Amino acid sequence: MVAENGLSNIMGRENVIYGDDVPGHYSGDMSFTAQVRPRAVVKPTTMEQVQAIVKWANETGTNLIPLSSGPPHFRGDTIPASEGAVVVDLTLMKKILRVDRRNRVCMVEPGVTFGELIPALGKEDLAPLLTLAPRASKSVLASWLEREPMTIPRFHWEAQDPLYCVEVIYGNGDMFRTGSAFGPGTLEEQWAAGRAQVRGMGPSQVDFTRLLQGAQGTLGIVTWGTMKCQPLPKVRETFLIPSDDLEKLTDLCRRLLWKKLGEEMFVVNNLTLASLLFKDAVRIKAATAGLPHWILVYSISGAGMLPQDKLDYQRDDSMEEAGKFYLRLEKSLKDIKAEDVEKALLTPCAEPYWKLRYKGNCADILFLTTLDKAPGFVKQVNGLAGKYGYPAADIGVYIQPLAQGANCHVEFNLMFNPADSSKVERVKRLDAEGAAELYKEGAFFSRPYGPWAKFAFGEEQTIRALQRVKQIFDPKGVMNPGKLCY
Amino acid sequence: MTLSREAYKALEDVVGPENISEEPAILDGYCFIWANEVYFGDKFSARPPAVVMPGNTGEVQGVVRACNKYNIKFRAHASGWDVPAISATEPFLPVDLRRMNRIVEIDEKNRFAVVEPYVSVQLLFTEAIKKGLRPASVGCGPSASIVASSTSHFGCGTSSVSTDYAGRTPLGVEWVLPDGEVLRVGAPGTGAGWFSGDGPGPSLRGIMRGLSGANGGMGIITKAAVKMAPWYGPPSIKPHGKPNIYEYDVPENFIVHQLVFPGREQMNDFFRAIVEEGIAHGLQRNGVAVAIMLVMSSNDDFWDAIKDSPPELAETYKFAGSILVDAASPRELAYRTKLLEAMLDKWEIMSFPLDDTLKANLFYNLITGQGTQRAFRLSGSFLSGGGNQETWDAMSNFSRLAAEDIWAKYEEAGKVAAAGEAPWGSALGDTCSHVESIVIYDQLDPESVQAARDIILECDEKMPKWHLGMGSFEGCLSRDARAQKLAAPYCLDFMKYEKQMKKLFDPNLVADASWYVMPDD
Amino acid sequence: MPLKDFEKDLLRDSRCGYCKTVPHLMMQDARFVNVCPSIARFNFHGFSAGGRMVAALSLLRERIDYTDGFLDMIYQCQMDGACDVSCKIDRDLEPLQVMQELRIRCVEDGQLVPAHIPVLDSLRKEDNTMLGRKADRGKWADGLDVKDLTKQKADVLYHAGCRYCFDEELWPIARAGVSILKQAGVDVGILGAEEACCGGRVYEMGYEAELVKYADHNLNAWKNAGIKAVVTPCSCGYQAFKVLYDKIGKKPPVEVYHFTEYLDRLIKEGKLKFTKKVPVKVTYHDPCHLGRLSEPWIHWQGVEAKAAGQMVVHEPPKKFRRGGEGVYDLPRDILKAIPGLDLVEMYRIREYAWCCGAGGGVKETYPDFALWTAAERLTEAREVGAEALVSACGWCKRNFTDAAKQTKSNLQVYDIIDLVQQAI
Repeated sequence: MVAENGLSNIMGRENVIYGDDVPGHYSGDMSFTAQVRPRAVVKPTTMEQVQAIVKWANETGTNLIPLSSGPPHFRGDTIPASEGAVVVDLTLMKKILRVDRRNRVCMVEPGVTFGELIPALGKEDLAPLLTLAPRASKSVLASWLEREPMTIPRFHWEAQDPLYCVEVIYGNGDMFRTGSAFGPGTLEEQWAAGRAQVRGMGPSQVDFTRLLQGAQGTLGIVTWGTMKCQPLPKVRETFLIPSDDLEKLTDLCRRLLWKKLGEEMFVVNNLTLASLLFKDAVRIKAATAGLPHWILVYSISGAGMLPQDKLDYQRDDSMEEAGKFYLRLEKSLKDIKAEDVEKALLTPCAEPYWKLRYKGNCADILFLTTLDKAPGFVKQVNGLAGKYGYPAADIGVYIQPLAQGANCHVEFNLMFNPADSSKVERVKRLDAEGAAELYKEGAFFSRPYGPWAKFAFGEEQTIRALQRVKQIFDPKGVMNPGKLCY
Repeated sequence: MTLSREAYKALEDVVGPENISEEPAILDGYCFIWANEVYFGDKFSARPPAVVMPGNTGEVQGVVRACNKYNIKFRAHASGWDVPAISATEPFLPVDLRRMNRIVEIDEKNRFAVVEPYVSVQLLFTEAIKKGLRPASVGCGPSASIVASSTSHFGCGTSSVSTDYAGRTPLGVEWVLPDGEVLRVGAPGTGAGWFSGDGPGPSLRGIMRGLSGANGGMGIITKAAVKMAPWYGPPSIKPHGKPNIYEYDVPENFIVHQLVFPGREQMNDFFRAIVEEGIAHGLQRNGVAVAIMLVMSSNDDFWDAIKDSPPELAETYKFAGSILVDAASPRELAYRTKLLEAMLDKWEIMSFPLDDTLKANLFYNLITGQGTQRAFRLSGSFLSGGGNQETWDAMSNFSRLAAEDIWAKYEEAGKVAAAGEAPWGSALGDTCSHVESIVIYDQLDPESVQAARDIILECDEKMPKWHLGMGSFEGCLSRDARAQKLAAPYCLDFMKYEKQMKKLFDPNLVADASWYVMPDD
Repeated sequence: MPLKDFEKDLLRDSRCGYCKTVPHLMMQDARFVNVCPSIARFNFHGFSAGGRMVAALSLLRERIDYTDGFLDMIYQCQMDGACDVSCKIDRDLEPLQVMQELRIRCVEDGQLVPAHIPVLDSLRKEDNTMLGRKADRGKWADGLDVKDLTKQKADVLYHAGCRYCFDEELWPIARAGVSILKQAGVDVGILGAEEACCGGRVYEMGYEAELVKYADHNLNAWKNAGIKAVVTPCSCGYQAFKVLYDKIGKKPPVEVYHFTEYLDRLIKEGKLKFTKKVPVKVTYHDPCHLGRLSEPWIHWQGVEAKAAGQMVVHEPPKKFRRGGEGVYDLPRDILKAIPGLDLVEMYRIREYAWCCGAGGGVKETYPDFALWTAAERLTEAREVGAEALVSACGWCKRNFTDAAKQTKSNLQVYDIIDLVQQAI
């Protein structure tokens, strides 16, 4: 009760949700993570409130679970691992603090969604970098903190992109700003000097932003972030490049990336593309059947001084490159139009969220590998699906080149009916045991959610090093315990 | 300082008798480097007690363990080509990584290379271009170590606009921690390969380096995978002619310019725009004189070429830079040519007339950063007085303030070479810019050396007050954390976290931290 | 110029390490980028030119004293000058001259390397460095119908050199050289037993007085012989006569030619024609003393000055020897003109060629190191697909032959004279 008073003092009693009043989506999500109801939920709106909450958590030994996106959640990282935790819901922190066209950067609070950011940037001749059809409630900042893949590889130079600097309340209650935001001077003084918090490295000899990425909220709570934006394209075209041979498409990706051609570039299977475009299972099934097995979704655009010239040469060069693989850039595949796909790429996903449309729920297995190895993992997953009695036809596949082609994100969307308990059990096993099999074959689970945390960390030294990091930033272990390896 | 016989024997048992030495004539080679006189008042800093040369990760581990056992401070270096590689106030054991010189693999399909520490930028460049790839070049030139520049020191260069800053290119890393344990960062730690350095979970690359690396203060990196950029040039570049000014064939799909801008605003606008357009392979803010220096055989020839230049030319050429644009196809070349012309037109930029020799040498410099050594020729030594990485506007602001408020008085007094703004700058990928202001001083002239010292101190003091950054490359070139301490009143306290990292990862404090932080700093 | 006079260069060394490799812009293959055999073999920085510059400063500052280890560091170096070329791509320093003065200083300070002693003894007593008898010096020419310049006059002196005179296995090359000249109608003679060492080799070891002595001796002998030109198949001798004598103010008043230079002249004058095929794939090794080290000496007297505040300039302006003016093309032109011969290039050639390993006293003092160096070169020759390695110096020929034997290599080792003789 004393502890609760502390929280009420910080937030105001009416802004804390306790006990039975806590909505169900804080206790469980779409994953197989065990449901645990948090003791309370708070929704701060300022950094100072967040800091006070964290300090209170340290004083009272209370675990905190930060989240920035609205429901439904999928990864299990926002569900408490044990009783008595308090969820810090940042969805009310919705300020777009700054948009700087000249330096192609924006500064946003964690509650800002893609749907909110797109028009705000559009007014300034900018566009955000996007993940693949994010759900409407998805936080932009959380996406990049979790190192979600972006759809335009040419802007993804390395894992930190597009995130630059963040303001964070560490688990020990300290406020810090990473990258060039650390100083010298206040933010206002920095802006007056012409700076824009566009350098995410540092300060000095530590990369503080990078340490927070992939942390699943176990090191601190981010209260704003700056991120790279792209100039708003003035002209664009999207193509669909079909093939039944995945390897051809991944090889073409590598070739296009080597030539630095293209904007959005990723490979999906027919089920995933159909799910992105259609809202109901019947149409998804029909569309899937009519599509080739694999589709490379590929866009070109022009945003600078000579946008049409850029578009024209990129189109011609892209067609030439595709031709070398006996592939074609199509504007439509039967009834599927590339321009419809383009719409799906450029806006957040309309309800229902595309992963839920086919069967009602979806478990993702996602990891990093290289483009040349991706087809091998697809084969392996098909084999594993058979082993666990799960229909391979219900698996969506998404392959996203990253780091300008040095590696790629591979994602298997295991779509299933949550009411069908036998299917649930199979998906659960595939998600846990199947993922472990993939790990043995070289899948790099860089974002180890849920059961993957048991095997993903590899060597003892990695775990010890991460535990030391935890010790520095969250010595009392209040931040989202039980999620990673500490 | 000498090692105990027991300690020496322990080290000798690890590396073999041929790979350890206590010979003073050899040891002095490990405490001598340019700029020592600025930081330490003498060409020689503290003489090490011995030097060891391990040949593989196991031997590195053995050396580090012995250092922990016998409480010997150590610091690794590869090329040894900067003060933080070689110098300290107190003796330490240099771990010379020359024997670890393999290109382990070049993964052509996935565009990265795995290298050992002694592999230089030029060595990897030579092999990578055969496969249509190239690594990041760095400002200190082609002899710099790939591993050092990407994981442990700094890492911006003329190619950074297309390759990215070297510090952002590491993928997987193998790292002997100060306590002697081996940490494999990223995918290598799970056996998946070398293609990613971030994860699982929080990225431990964040402990390894930030804007700059730990300069040996957090152990020894024994292998690194680095991402490489596409190379559209020939599989080998063969210079022709005679030393020391060679000629190169500039490939037809490369465009070279030395640009002169009408003013600062146009310069800032152009650099910002060229990065946004994403067409440059190499880019450098440099004066016209720097370009000319590339084709002058000696200082005497250089002086002869410029001595009669009318003084107003210095003002005309004040805002200048060089650019290399490449193209992957004839259509792309046509587009980029047209775009570049439109940009030059828009901002009324003059393209300095280039004869074949100047064009070829600019081309080569923009690819490799070879030109840096010429800067040493000018007066015998130079240093970067201050520099940082942020927006073009902010960094341009820095070079203006630095020239007016700091450099001018030393130049007028003849204590450093007169060089106007004397900037060197580049773009880092598509994010920010880097700029530094150069002090050209004579290490034989005590007044000139003192001027260099004073300039660096002024930068360390004033940059924070101007809110433009922290001096000494945000601490990278800051001995005993001086720049960090001077900036501390204006910044959030990041040092406390670094100190904790140092303490946790180096409990015996044996990784020499002269250019990093110590827990009690 | 004594070591102290190079102190500015020592202080301006930046420890860039460029002296360790071929000029970066010349790198073509990761396996063949080292250019300094010393550091390639021994690895510590002290074994590079830069490292020796530091050691020289340390010595001047009395930070160090002579030890066996220090002497090894100084003398495990072929004085081949590749470091000098690499350094001078971008710097106006004199690393090779510093290393030369360091050796002279060692000798002045009485720091004699034991293995040098018999060589110096042989020179002082028998006018050769090969531990042979002076009286036997002319034996290589027994039965050769050639003028004796102690008794007759000729336009051209053929100076065989110590290596050719006393290395019986190499006599056929020395003899062939004379035959070729005679066949071309050259009025040539030899000094036979009265020929003396050029003094170059021991100079590189640090014995400056011997160079002066033999310069005087040879110039006098040539004057007495009334010759107009000296032709030598020995690159070391060539470099001593052309460059070192000039350096010490004793520039020969006669033309000095390496055999290849004279051969080139004869071919262009139509006095020699290649008529026979020599079907072999060869690679040419640039001898250091014919290549970069044979660049004419540049005398300069002046002072250092400052311009634009702190830029170092000279009054009068100073030119630097950067290795580009050595003899590189002529031997290649000769080889290319031989019918049936296929010439391929190695990765390290011309002014940035890898040394054969024999120079600087290393063959005499550290024979294993000399052979290691040569073996590295043989590997490179094999890598470019050559069946044979051809050079233009007796020391190169000897050291490569020894290395080929030691490594059981089936690469043929020729002197250019061998191939020319086969072709005419």
